[in-house]
Amino acid sequence: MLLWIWHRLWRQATPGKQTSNEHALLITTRLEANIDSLKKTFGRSEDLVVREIELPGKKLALVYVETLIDRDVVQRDILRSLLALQALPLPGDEARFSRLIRARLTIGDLQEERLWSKVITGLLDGKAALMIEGFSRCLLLGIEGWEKRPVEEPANEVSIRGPREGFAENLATNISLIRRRLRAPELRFEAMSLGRRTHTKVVICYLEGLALKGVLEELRRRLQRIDIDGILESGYIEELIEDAPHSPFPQLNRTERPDKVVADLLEGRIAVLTDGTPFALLLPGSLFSQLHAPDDYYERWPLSIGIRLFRFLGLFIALLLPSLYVALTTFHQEMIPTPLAISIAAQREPAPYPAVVEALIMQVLFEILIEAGIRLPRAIGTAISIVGALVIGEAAVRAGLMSAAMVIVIAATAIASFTIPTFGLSQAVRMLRLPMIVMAGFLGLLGIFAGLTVILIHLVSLRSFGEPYLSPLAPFIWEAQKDLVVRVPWWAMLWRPVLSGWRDLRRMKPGLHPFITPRDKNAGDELETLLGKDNGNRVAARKKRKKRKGKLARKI
Amino acid sequence: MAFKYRSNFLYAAFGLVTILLAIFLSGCWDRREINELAFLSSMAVDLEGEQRLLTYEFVRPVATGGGEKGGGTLNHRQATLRSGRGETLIDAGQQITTGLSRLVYLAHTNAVLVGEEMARRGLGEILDFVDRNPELRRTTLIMVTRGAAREVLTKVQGDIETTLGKEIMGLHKWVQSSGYGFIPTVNDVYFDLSSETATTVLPVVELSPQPFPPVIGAGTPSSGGGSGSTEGRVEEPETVRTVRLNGAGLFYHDKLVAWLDADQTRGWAWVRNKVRRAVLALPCQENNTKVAVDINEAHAEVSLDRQGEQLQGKIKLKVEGILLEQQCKLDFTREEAVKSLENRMAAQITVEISSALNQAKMAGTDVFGFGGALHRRYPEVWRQLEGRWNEEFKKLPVTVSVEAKLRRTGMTGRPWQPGAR
Repeated sequence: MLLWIWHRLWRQATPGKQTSNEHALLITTRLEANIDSLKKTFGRSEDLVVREIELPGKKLALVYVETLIDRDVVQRDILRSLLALQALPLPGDEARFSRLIRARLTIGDLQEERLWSKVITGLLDGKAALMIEGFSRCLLLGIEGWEKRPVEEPANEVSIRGPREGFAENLATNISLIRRRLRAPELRFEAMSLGRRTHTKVVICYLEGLALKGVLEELRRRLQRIDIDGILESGYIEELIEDAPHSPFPQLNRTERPDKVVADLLEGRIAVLTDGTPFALLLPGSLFSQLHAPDDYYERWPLSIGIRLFRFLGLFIALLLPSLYVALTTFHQEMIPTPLAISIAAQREPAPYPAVVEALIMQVLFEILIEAGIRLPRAIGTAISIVGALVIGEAAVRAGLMSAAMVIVIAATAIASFTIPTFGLSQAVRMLRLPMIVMAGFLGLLGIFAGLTVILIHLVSLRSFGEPYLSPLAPFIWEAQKDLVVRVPWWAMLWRPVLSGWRDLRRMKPGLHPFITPRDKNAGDELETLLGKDNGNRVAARKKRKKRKGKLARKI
Repeated sequence: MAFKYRSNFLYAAFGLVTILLAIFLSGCWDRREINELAFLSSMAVDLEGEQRLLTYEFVRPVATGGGEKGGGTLNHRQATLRSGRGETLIDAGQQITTGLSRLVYLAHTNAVLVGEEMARRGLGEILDFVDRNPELRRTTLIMVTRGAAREVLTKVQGDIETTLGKEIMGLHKWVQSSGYGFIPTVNDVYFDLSSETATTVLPVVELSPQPFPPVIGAGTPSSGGGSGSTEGRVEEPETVRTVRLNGAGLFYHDKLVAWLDADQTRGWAWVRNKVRRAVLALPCQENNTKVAVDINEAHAEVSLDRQGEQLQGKIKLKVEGILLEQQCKLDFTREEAVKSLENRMAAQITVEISSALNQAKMAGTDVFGFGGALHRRYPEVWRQLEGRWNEEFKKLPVTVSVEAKLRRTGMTGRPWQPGAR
């Protein structure tokens, strides 16, 4: 029955062909007709401005959407230049006139267009259309200018050490943030426009020669498949292109940090920027890359290893602590040290609910608290946090609703779940916690392990654009262990990640260990030749190697 | 297409429902909330005629941090006692559950006390009970009492620990550094009883009434205090009944056959390497004064020699000690003084060992492990004697040689004398 309704809805919801082929037409030579047609298209939109200009012997019209353009530019550069033409003799034929205008207008972005559809898109992109009586083309002038949020510190991905810039909503700003960090001519930005009505600009960003062609191809194919009325956030795209649409785990990494995007680009990954949102998508994604924070690479490496270990531990605590507590206190009391068991028993003495129910209530309350904390108007935030802390913490225990140990467990879990640097993964873990508690409440440790097994099977079977989700652990790749739990120092990070960066594996000149003395400053070159980066020089390298074998052996 | 979608969805839904039903319909049949359990801390097993009398000491869970009125309470034992009678141990245990609002939970049991009569009858059924029960652990401590075990369990008052089980855990951990005892786990007993000689030694735990407050005659008003603020102390000294280890019981197979007193227990402990630290109080040359030596290294070896048909047992013990206290004025920077002290150390230890040895020989139970030594050294002789080893052991001549060393004399060398520089 439900199925039937579902299918009914599905069929109805499938949109028919949109009846808007009229824009495939060309513009006419009659200015009046063109203007009428434009006005008809835009209807009663207040912000469509048609400025008619009379030049000797020529009628022009400048059309633009007022809210999308920079008014200064219109006044300073376009109108003034056009009015200056009044003094000149104007050529009659189209080509010469067009050349004259091109020469006179002080506008950088200028193109000729004959298709109505292009003109309208141009207008909506913030361009001005200059139409001329008797001409079959119009000129599109790029004078975009609208309110932008300035580049600010990313709100959700804070780092102690690292750049403070985060993406803004404006695509051009975001591209410039990336360009400024990666001044390589190989950097490519492929634009496409998605969304039948929103015409959202989406940009694929990658490094030519490094990004894998197959992945790129696949990404283009999946993006082109998208035919939806609107893209308001990169989340739309994410859900439309990901490999396992039913999985709770985010398969594409998202970030609002340009430094993270650049780092991933350098590893051969691909970024997808969406206009109107500060969140970029990075692919192929993997679980472990979502557990890595930018600070890991900026802070001293031994400390980074320690911090990463804590973060991994945090993941497990966030997922398992409440369920372990429930399992131990309701099934496996023999596993708790005697004094603790007795103390928990004493605390639970007045508790009215079984531990599972208690855990579920606390968990749900906590999730609600988090959600409320996000949605709250900022001014009430502190009040609610006090109420939340008091009610869920102290008062619940005092009132005998909860046991104190459970409050501690939930608090520890909550804190641990925020050690996960990406919010998407943290959410996934938070949501998986509830079924784990239920499993623990019904089957104890057995249930936890059953749940873990299911999760693990799911994770192992996931792929993101061909890359296994648990790589480099689940297909175990020894070379990639340098950046999984351990983060080796930069001078030892000789290779890019094998899976995404194999087209150009070498990352740096070897032998950058700062301890190498000036006498050995050529050691890097030697090693490089020995490692055979340059195949043509094999023979020479062998000769060199023979000559310096003794010396090198000592060094190594 | 639609059909495919539908069937996939159906399969998924069916699978999900099946799994959920399997989980939820089975219910949480094994679930027991931690606050519905009665945690057993220790138990006493006695024999009354042909009936087993089982006494359980349950922890009474009390919220931490609350309720205490401050230090110096006479009894803050937080335990509840129940006992049951039955043909078998589990039968007796079942009787307890009929009067208990909670589920008896044995997994945190610390100690089993075995009454004298029960011990004479045999430990076998207790060992079997502990080993067979999935909740009870082999790390449970086991000991015997003189007389009924339930006497100790019911009469003891907690003054440091809240339960007897906890008290015994603490004893188990620290008593070896006095040298006077050793509390084995059930596993140790199994181990002992499966050795060649099949003997074991269990410590005796007994009530020890201590005056409370600990100073005798504390009822007298404090001399230095102000007039108004004297506390209303109880006039007559009360007693608080704590437990202590005193001696041990010797077992042949699983049956109690003889007792050792405290010194003999240490004598036995020297030989079986159960002494971690011990203090020897030795006579000085001067009138009635003593020297105290702290033994911090002891290693014993038990061996057997054969001369012709005659077996000769040998106990070799090496001990090292530190001088900790002296009442006389001996100068231990001189070698003779050290030598003579070492001789006295050896002599005293030898006395302790011989005393324990005699007791064991009289009872005919080879708790020193000569049987094992014989098996290792002369397997063919052991095979002949195996059946009647306890008789042979009674006749076995044993030489005890103790090599004592005094390693240090503490933080000072010469004794302090008035006017000495």
